[in-house]
Amino acid sequence: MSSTEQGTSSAAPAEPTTAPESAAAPEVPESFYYVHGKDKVVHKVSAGALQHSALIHGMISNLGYTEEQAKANPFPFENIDGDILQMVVDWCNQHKGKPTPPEDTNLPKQKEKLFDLVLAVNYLEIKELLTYCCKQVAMMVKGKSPEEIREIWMIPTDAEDEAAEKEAKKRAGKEAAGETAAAAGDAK
Amino acid sequence: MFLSKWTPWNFFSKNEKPAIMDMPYLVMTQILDNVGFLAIQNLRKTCKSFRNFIDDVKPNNELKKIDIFLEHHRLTVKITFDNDNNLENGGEVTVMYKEGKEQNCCLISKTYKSSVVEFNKTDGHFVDVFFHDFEPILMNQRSKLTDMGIKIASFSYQDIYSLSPQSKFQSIFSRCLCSRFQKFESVLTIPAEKRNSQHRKVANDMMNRFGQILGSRTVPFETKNLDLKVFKQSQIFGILRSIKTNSLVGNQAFQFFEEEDTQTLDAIPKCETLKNMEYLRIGGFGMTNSITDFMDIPELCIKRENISRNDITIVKQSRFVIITKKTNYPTI
Repeated sequence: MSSTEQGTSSAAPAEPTTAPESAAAPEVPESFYYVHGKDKVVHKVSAGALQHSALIHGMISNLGYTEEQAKANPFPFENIDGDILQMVVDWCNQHKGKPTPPEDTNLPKQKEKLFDLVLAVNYLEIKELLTYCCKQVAMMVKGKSPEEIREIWMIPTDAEDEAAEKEAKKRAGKEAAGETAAAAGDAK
Repeated sequence: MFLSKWTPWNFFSKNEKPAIMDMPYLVMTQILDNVGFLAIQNLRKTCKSFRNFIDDVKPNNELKKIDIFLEHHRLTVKITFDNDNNLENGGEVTVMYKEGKEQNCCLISKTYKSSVVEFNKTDGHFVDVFFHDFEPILMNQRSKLTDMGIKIASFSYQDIYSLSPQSKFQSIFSRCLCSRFQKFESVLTIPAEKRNSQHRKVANDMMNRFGQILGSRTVPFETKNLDLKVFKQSQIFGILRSIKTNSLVGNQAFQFFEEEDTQTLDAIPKCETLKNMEYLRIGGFGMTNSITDFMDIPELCIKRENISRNDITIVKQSRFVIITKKTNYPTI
């Protein structure tokens, strides 16, 4: 996550000083921007489609990139897998300028992909898609017993939870001891 | 991030595939809002972290009605969901907690979508078991209900009652085929007086617990209609203190053979929760205060044993309808 934040933050402050705010928007009928995920595959997306994402929309409205600048500086999202980003881009293109339907049935059925998609959509702040995804995640456990829910959502039992907590405390204690020893060594 | 703030086990899963525990707090609340009432109850049973999180967030649910009815030796709870919004969970669930044959033993039966599930619980009085199940529901209910009913059955004249079978549950179908019903239901004879005193004790304890639970909420419990049937006037006020409602039906459960002072509900109009009351109906309890106290309530049905001349003039001026019964007890 930190690499993406660095990537976007390094791109963001560089441009506003050179380009006026959204200068290209009224002249060009449709401007395009470029994004890439962890796999570095660049996706071309129109500004209209990107409006679904509050995060990207906020960035591009302040940047005012020209077509060449946009092509040269794709937005890096290192914390999002390539296939998940592809899914998000496809959804944004599909629903560009359209009112969003009350339900979306094209969401992935596998839980790992769905969880990845939820995290990506939440990061990109795509409100409508996040609502669908949350509904889809919620549907997974409807009518299921506690044991089934635990299995589906990969929830640890209280015993597992406590064991992990103890182990984490031990590890934290060891790390703290190591740090104090190192600090004492430095002082000497 | 969701639970990771409280549980450091998340450190181990940093490079693994994302789990539900990795979801950010806002996403998790949005998911829980869509899960539905019954799934939330099951989710609370999965682990301590989830239980704490649900009790903290209090997700929205489609619960609309709760009807609690305490009879002699058993308690029935009927919960109704919003059919329009959630067809999958639509309908009713009825849970019955019955007193078992042995002490501190309870038989629970649940009816949902016309299927009945019965099981025994051997470590608790039936009212305790009910509160164990329903305390979190009463504490976590955030949205306004349409109806809430807490009713206590009146005293009984009967000396006998049938006990639930303690053996393995027999299906309803097998019961219908069997002519010897007593094989499955044992009948006990206890003097009505003893049964009634037990019932009153259980009822008083239950109402105290309700008062405590609802009173410990940070936000008052909200319901459009409230229907109470209790023994004492203090029990009505105990509930009203912590419930916001637009309409109240308050009845008194009868205690035969008991010589008690007539209980009045004169303080009802002063209750904070009843300031915007649209409907008030009081039965059984007496009312002695002036009719002017009730002038703000659009629909009113109360029983008066006597009425002053002043009140009659006010009532006539306000175009109320007075129904006078033959018993010479005027009802307004």
